[in-house]
Amino acid sequence: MNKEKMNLIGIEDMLNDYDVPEIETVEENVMKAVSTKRIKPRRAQILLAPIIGYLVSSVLFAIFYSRNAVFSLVWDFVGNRIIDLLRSAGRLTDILSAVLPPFKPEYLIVPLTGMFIISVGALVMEKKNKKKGGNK
Amino acid sequence: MDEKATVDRIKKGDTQLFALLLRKYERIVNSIIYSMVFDIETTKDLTQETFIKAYENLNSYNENYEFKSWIAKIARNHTIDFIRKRKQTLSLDEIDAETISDNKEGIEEGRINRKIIEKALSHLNEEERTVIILKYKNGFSNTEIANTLEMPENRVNVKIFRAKEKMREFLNKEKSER
Repeated sequence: MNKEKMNLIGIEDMLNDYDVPEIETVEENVMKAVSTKRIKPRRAQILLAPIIGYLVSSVLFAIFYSRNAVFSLVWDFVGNRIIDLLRSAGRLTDILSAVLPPFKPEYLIVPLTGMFIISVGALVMEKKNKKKGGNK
Repeated sequence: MDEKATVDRIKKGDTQLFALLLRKYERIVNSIIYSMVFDIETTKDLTQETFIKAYENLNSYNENYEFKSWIAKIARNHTIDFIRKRKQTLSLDEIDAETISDNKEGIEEGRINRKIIEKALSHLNEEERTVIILKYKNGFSNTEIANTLEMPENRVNVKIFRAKEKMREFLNKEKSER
């Protein structure tokens, strides 16, 4: 392209003039491949979350119930501190004890498991969404 | 037969109909891939892989969107994966620099024009390049580009504007150096 022409025409004209070089068609190869391949079945992504949740909660349940040592460790670190905090709140403790059901350390399994499941679920969904930006 | 019906029939096993989609969109796929790798053979290979991938994942195609946006998205992402894997970062050296030089005797004008544009395109980042190619080479509307690249339409407008500015700047620089 000569200098004068570059001066005269705008970028859009240049882009409209621009042609990708001729590339040999791949039809034959693709159709050959297609005849031997199968369309992948649609993945039931929504099934993944409960399956993962089930597996995770089962593992947690097994750990917390069959290995008291692990549970005690968690309780010593977290549970006692929460109770200390509540006690130090003075009157607040009275209010809380009136509202909350009798507390047993084992009850922590439920929220902890729930938290874990939700976190894992969220992570899985995030990963899926990132992949979705791909080609699915 | 409309595209939806074609896709449905392919899903039901009429695989030969896939050739219709391939013929219709091969050029678009070629241009997207070529604008990212600037190599004919690589473009050919990646185009082939793109269509095979599209066929295998036809069940995940959402028929509420245009097929061309979907296939363009596959082409782009597949090429990005390819570039990442091969660490094939595009550098200016890879583009035939001699075509910009003054020694153009015997070279047809169209080819020089193409090389200059390719060099200007190589100054853009991958997203800007795709936006420009979709817009000016494949006639995608801004909405279609937004669907393909999964970004808001106003961001597409900004990208087009910036890309054109960068290209203009590059071409002006080229002019002044000549």
